[in-house]
Amino acid sequence: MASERILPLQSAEEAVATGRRRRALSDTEFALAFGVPVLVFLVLVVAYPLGYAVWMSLHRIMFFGGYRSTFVGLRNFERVLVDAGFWWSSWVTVRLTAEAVVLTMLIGLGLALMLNRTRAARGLTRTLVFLPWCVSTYGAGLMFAYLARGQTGLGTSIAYALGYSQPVDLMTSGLVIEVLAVGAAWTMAPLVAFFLLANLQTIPKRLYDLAALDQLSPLETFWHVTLPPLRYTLFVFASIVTVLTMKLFDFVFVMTGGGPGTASATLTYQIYKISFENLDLGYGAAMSFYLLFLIIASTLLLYLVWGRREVLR
Amino acid sequence: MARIELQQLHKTFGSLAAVQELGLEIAEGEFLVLLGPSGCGKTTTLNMIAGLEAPTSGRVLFDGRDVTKVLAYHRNVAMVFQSSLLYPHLSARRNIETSLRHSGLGRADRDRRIADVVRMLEIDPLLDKLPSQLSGGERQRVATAKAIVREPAAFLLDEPLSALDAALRLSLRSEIANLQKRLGTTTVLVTHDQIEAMTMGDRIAVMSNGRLEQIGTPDQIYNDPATLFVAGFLGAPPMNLIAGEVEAGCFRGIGFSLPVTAPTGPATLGVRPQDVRVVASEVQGALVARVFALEHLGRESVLIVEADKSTKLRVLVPPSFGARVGERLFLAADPERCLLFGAEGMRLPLHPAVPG
Repeated sequence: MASERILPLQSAEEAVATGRRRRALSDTEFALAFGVPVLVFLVLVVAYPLGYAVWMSLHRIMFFGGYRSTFVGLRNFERVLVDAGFWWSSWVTVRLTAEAVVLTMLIGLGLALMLNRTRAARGLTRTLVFLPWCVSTYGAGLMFAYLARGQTGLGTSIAYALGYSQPVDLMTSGLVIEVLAVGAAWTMAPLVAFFLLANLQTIPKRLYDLAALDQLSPLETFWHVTLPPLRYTLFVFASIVTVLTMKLFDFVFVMTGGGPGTASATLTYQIYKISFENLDLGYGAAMSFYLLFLIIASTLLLYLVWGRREVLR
Repeated sequence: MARIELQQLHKTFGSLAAVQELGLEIAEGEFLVLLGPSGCGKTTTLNMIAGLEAPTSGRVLFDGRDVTKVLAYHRNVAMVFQSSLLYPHLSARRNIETSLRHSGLGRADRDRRIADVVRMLEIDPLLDKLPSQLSGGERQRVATAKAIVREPAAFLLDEPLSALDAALRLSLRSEIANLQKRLGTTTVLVTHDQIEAMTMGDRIAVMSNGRLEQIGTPDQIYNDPATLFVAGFLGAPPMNLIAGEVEAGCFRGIGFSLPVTAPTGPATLGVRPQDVRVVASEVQGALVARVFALEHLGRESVLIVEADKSTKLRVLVPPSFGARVGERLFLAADPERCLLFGAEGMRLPLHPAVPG
């Protein structure tokens, strides 16, 4: 239709030719042109593995004595529920996640508040603060393992500096999850900080003057002026960090290997061990679906008790 | 209610002198307007009166008491900020309550005061809304309520109307002025809008580049400007300013002269558009100019003429006046209504009083 307007300027033949070439795509065609490749890609990278995982979870797969698979229905899912290792790993995962989320939010908020005040060498400070996020979790795992171990760690050097002669090992079954949480927070907090910083900079300076005139204490000022614009971002990142921590694997793998013993065997680590060390792929797949349920349930819970109120605002 | 004095107030930010040698006195119950272009130091001055910013040197006195080192909340001032700032996540009611949170008043007293301001400003239906749900005018009322509920020693208003549309500004202007007179609270309003200043203030303090140019009633500021800056800043359409020279008892500008008794040197002649007339060519000393544009305002028209390439003059003419662009005209100014300014921008007397 659009070509009609330019008709008078061209010969009929030309008009037909350009008309065909320039014919505008309809909305549906346009949507398909852009949508189909993405859908195909998603099917390949998400739906296929997911479908394959479902298939595995319903089968008993054996490698020894020749590969074979037998359909076992929901037997794998039943086995998970009576597996003490699964419950222990679930607890480890929940504990690690809760600690990592709280730490990440607090460190992120602290960094954001600090960056918001820093004037000198602003670019350099921001770069330094952002760096941990750019470090691979594999590298961070190696570093934190080094820092937490008794022979080389921070604990020992601080103890020696204070005059004690005993090395302090932080990688004990009682503390290892906290060490993991600190490490996870170290890698994720910078990203949170930068989003919070963006929010902080939208706060009108005059609001702090209003608070000063109202005699609000520093805490009240923080609560009524600084925090409100951050709350939605805090909720979103609490959700994101929950998901990221629950599916954290490489960090645990490199840093603790699930140990000492099974003290830091998170669900991801447990699934890895079952699937790729014990080669019980069907059982591992079933357990990975429990991890998926746990992730969905946690974020849903977070939304119900917190997010819903923030979204309503 | 307080009498506020500023003595030799200085404020510098790094190498920038925001406010210099500012001295002024605000009487109890007075409505003073700080007027000036942006960056002239008027908001910094207001902040120093409020105690939100400490002066580099100089003193702030409330009722003769030096409060320069007293923190903002102990001065008992209330402020309304640009775009009527409120805590965004608190309802209108809680915003107003926050003003009294640390006032030390009992529950009953607080409730009574809040009920009073709610009645006075008719904001009852707005109390449970969040600031984002209020219109500009409603937010302004709530911010005003939040300010007056404290029964402060002084109201400080920082361009409270600048973010509102023109019609609303017009009605709120008189509302604020009316409220101020009813409450009788000392009030300082900062604005860059000369009409706001002229219509609301008991007195106007005109500032420029951190200095006080002139302080006086709207009438004094308009009719008797002390400096070239004040003369040019106030009035719409603006005063005609003609650069020239005083020589041998005569001001010579573009193609005309006016007898004055002022010292020899470069000078600027100012005359308001209403004090210039279009005349027949015969009148002696008339200025020749070409019509540049004619703006119809309804009640009157503004004739804009070009006296030379760089000088445009404005003349108020009756609405019936007709003129073609490019047409030659003769203008004459009322010599009694002309103002003369020296090279430094200070006002010079046209006819110094004859001694004796």
